[in-house]
Amino acid sequence: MVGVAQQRDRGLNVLRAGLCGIFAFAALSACRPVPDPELEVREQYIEKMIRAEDAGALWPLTSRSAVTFATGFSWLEFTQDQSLMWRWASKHAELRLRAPTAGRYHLHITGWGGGIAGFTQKVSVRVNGQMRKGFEGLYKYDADIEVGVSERPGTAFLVEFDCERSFTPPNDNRDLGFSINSLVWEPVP
Amino acid sequence: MKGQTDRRFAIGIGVSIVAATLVGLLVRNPPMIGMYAWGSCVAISLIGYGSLAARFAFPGKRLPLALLASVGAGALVALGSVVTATRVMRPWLGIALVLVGCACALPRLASTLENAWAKNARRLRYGRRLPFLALLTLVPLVLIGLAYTHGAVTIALNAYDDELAYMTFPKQMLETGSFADPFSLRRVAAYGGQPFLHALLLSNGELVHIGILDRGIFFSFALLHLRELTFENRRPPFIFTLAAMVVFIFLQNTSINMASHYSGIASFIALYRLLKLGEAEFVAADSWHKAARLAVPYALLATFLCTLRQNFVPTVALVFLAHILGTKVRAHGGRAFVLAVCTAVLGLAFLAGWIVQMRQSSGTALFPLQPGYLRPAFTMRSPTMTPGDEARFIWASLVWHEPFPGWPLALLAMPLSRVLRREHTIITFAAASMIGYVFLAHSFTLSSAENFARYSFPFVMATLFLAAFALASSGPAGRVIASRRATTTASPYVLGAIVGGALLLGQAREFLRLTYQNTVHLAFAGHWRPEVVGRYAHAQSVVPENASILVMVDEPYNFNYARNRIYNLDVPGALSPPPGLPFFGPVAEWKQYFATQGIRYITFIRPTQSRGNYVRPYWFRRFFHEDEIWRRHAPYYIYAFDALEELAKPSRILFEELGLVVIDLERE
Repeated sequence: MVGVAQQRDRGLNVLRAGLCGIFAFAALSACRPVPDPELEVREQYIEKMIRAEDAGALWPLTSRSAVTFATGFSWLEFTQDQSLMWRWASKHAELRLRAPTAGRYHLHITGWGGGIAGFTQKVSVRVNGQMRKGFEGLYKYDADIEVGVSERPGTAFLVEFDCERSFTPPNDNRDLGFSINSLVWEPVP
Repeated sequence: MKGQTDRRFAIGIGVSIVAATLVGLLVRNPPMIGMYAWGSCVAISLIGYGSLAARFAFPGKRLPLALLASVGAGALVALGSVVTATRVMRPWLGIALVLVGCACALPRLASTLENAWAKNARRLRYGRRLPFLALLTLVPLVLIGLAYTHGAVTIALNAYDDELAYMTFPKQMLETGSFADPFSLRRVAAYGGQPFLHALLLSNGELVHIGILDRGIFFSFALLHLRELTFENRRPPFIFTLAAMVVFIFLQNTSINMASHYSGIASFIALYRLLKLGEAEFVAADSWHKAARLAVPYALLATFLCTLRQNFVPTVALVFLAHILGTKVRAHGGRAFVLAVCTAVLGLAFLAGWIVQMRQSSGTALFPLQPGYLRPAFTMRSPTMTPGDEARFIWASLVWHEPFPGWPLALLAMPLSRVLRREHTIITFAAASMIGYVFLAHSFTLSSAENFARYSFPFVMATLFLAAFALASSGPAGRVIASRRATTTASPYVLGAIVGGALLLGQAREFLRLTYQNTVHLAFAGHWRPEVVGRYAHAQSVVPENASILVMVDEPYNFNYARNRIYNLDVPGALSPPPGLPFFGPVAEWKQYFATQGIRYITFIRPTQSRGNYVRPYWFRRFFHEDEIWRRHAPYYIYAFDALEELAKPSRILFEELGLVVIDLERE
């Protein structure tokens, strides 16, 4: 008799486990992802807003009254932990700046050249229409751009970059020349 | 003699309840005093309603107070289902419901006090020789008092949840009699059990203090559960109980708002205790109708848990399913079937009003399985996650689980213990909790792994505490210090608690400091931000009475819900009645949509002047947030900010002060 009871208990335990499993499976299945009909229009909206509002304004690589990433610069991009940020520039790009205080400054910029496409990028630089020493870079470059003497704080500069070549990376339809990863005013002693 | 003493105690308690009610009614300043007193009445009324249910299902038995409180909360929520569905809920009714509950609690409390008096008098006599031990027995009482006081004096309002939604719900119940908001995402997070109990507190108290329900009343009841827990008539050693209570009280509170947290823990522990008691009663019952009576407290407690959070529903359902199929109950075939059917039918009957209200408000009877008015973009399931990604996600969430990483893994280890294997109900809880956890994780993959652990905290923590107590009770009875065997088996849990406790020593100090500081501060504090209340009243006064208003503001609880129909756009775009609020197109579509919904007036806070959730740069940054959930929500917020500003330009601005704007869409 005990054996029969034990067998029955075992059978019912299996039934209990099975019912729990079916319940869990049904619940999990019912919670499957729902198709998102707004996905495309939302993505377009996000891109439009980021371009229009210049998300860079929120981050160190910024467009603001002192520094404006104007013609030819893409939106701000960064790694997930935001430890690295950059903006890609096209073959021709313009940067508008205002000097922070009176004095002599270098504009120190770092970034990437044409390494993704396998060539060394050569970039020529003009400040307010006057040619300055350019720079070149395969993966990383590091350049000081002499912007001259400013008479007073807020003097405006237009820095124009012209690349020798451009490239289109895979899965990206942008025509890219080089990137700016950091931009710092450095006073010249 | 005993009867006379009981009567004296009953009179004393009755006078105290009347005094506390009067304090709540009359002492409006400082409001903390009124809520401290009225909160006690609400707590007592829970016990009262629980006593009624217990008298019916367990005639002639004395159920523990903490268990009665959770069953009583279920009874009140079942009543709430009716009074809110029929739109008759009002402050006077809230006060009446509480006072009736208090009256029902009198006999039980009087006999408890009488017993405690007699027992402690003996202890104190004995304590003349060992005063330290005598005082030690009072420590649990002090801890429970401390927990209640902490809840009463803590105003921890979350600007994103409490101020935007959870504070509006009880106010809406009291002013309109019902609970509906088709535009609110938080409305569908639960059927409404917690907001209804908040409404009872608010019926004779101040809104900013309603957090006492979770952080005070149920925090204390959870501690009382720990004090009362017995396993097969064995208590764990007193020192263990005391240590567990200390750990529990200083455990990191992972709750970030006034939604269910401690009410969940207390009620899951209560569920275990009720099922154990019910099982014994069921086996001893000699007729099917005696067994069927058990369905009343079962269904009440299940109702309460199911109305606290939607994600509790599968865990509760699984626990009941396993219990009914359990060996002892199942062995009585026909009676077990009757019990199962009665519990299910009664549970659905108690929940019916809440289900109907959610269906009418948000188009869903069982959220999130039935999404209702929810926009597909706001579902919590990630559409891109593979099963492998999901397994890693669940693992990460288990490992990062707060307050103690990896604790849910202990649920998996429980069947390894011989002691726990004998405690079928705890193993059932462990299995149901684990499945509930996986279900929650599975439906929440859009979020970060560490973000949703707090939703599972109540059933995971309740099960872990139950297991630790069962292990600690496995030694010889009547010990103050645990036996060697019990110490060995309980040691992993105790070690975890001690390590956790040691890590949280700073938190304990902070807990005590805050309790003291808040008590001193609030004892002299007046009403909360009267100038803000006045601004909202002024803004609402420019809108004709009975007109519908869509609001997207920082403090919607300041509106008068009886004067106007208020639709709260707490999470823009998340929910909206069909055909759904259009996004990302021309703003004129919003105007057309609102016209079809009968909404002519909009009140919003300009995103440049919001002090809470509606700050534009805050949401703009979330375009780049590492959690997909925020990247999804952000464009809806940004669009809503811009759309409202756009709508305001051609519309007549009826009111504007400190960024709070009221516009009339039909006048230019």
